[in-house]
Amino acid sequence: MENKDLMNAMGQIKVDYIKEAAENRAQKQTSNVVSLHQAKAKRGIVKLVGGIAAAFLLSVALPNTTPQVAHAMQELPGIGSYFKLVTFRNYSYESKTHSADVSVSKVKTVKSSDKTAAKQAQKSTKAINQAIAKETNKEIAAFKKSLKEKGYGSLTVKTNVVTNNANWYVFRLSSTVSKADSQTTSQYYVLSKKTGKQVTLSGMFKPGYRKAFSKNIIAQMEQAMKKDKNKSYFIKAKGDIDGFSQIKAKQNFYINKKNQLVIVFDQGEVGPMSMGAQSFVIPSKLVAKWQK
Amino acid sequence: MRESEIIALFFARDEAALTSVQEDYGAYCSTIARNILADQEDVKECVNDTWLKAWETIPPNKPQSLLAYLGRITRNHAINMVRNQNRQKRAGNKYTVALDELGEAAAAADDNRELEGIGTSKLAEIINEFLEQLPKEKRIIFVRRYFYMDAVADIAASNGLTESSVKVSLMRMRRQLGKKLKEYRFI
Repeated sequence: MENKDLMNAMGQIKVDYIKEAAENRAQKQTSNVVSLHQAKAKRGIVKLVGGIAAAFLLSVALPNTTPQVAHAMQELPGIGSYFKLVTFRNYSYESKTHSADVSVSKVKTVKSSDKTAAKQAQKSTKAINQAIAKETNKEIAAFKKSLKEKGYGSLTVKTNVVTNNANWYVFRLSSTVSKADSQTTSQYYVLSKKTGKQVTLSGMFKPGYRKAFSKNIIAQMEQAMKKDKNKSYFIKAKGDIDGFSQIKAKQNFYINKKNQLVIVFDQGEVGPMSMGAQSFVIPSKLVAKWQK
Repeated sequence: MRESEIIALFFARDEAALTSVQEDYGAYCSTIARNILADQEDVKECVNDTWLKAWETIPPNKPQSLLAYLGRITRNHAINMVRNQNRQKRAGNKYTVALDELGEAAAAADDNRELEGIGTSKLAEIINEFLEQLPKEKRIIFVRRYFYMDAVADIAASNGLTESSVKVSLMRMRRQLGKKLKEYRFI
């Protein structure tokens, strides 16, 4: 057999595999930005662009709303916290039937020009790192237990930076467990560079936001299903007893590099497993309306 | 335009189908061809041939996924261009390097004479079975490297990984595939 036979055979792989890799390729641009941030973090020069932080809450909804606002923001002194990810836990295992690849980082405060924010950042990162350690150890323990089971199994746990801009440092801890099926769960950690705090939805928004955002998410789901017949969301109002009705108090979310609020659902949470994780960008106007 | 609408245009023999695929899939197919062919003119020719091939084959074919269908035509045609038009010296590095890497899996099955007579489609079945057993994240890495011929650096960047971790993953997967090919002789 020659190499080219294998290369030819690769040209006949299943459509689903070609599609899922194409989706991954399409993320290239966004991720390149992330990787640039990671490269900077390695060199210890993760910087906060000065001046925007004081208006950070407004900028979630209305970044650079007007030239006047943009100008005013530029005049504010630079305040904020600096974060970076450092390797925390590596674990790998390889056998005929099982494999594990755990490469998890913890978040570290590098520098801050604001002492209060720095103190708060240290407190936040300590709590986050404890949570990461707990979750990672839990996954590894479950994997070790599964080694006794028959069949194939694998575990991948990793962390990656999602957003690193003037206002926010967001990273994701993801865990993929494969047995007969594969399931990925993610936890996002959103840190404000202004305050050094890990932000929560209830801390940012007025009571009632859950209902308002959920209504918008359901509308987005309905729109998506109308546009693409292959999409199917579980919606309680449409007769699915276990379907989605309202986001949770501790709903997974993050803020993307455009400062938009993104609500995230793990694989299988609001749609079939085959659709993967689902995320919905909440419109800026709605975000602004419910901000504290 | 939605995939189903473009496919409907093909079935109606409406040439707007060609404009639509160029608009919607031009960049996608170009990146695939560019990974394999070093010459920009060859890339253009390959992509144009892809549209022609799609026009000739839809109908009777009704692709389950137009994206995958066009991607597959582009990739396979680009490889054939490298081979058949005696342009190896102009071949893109990514293709030749990826080809060499896959040799590791092929070498593992070298002493397996039964595999000599196996057609590409049977090999594809084995590879599909192998891919099915991989975790999604690893499968994506493998497919990006050996179907799309993407550079290791690009794969690493878009998945938040280091180049070395992607290389290690690929090496492990090639070994796993090699073992699978070796085992196949006993089936």
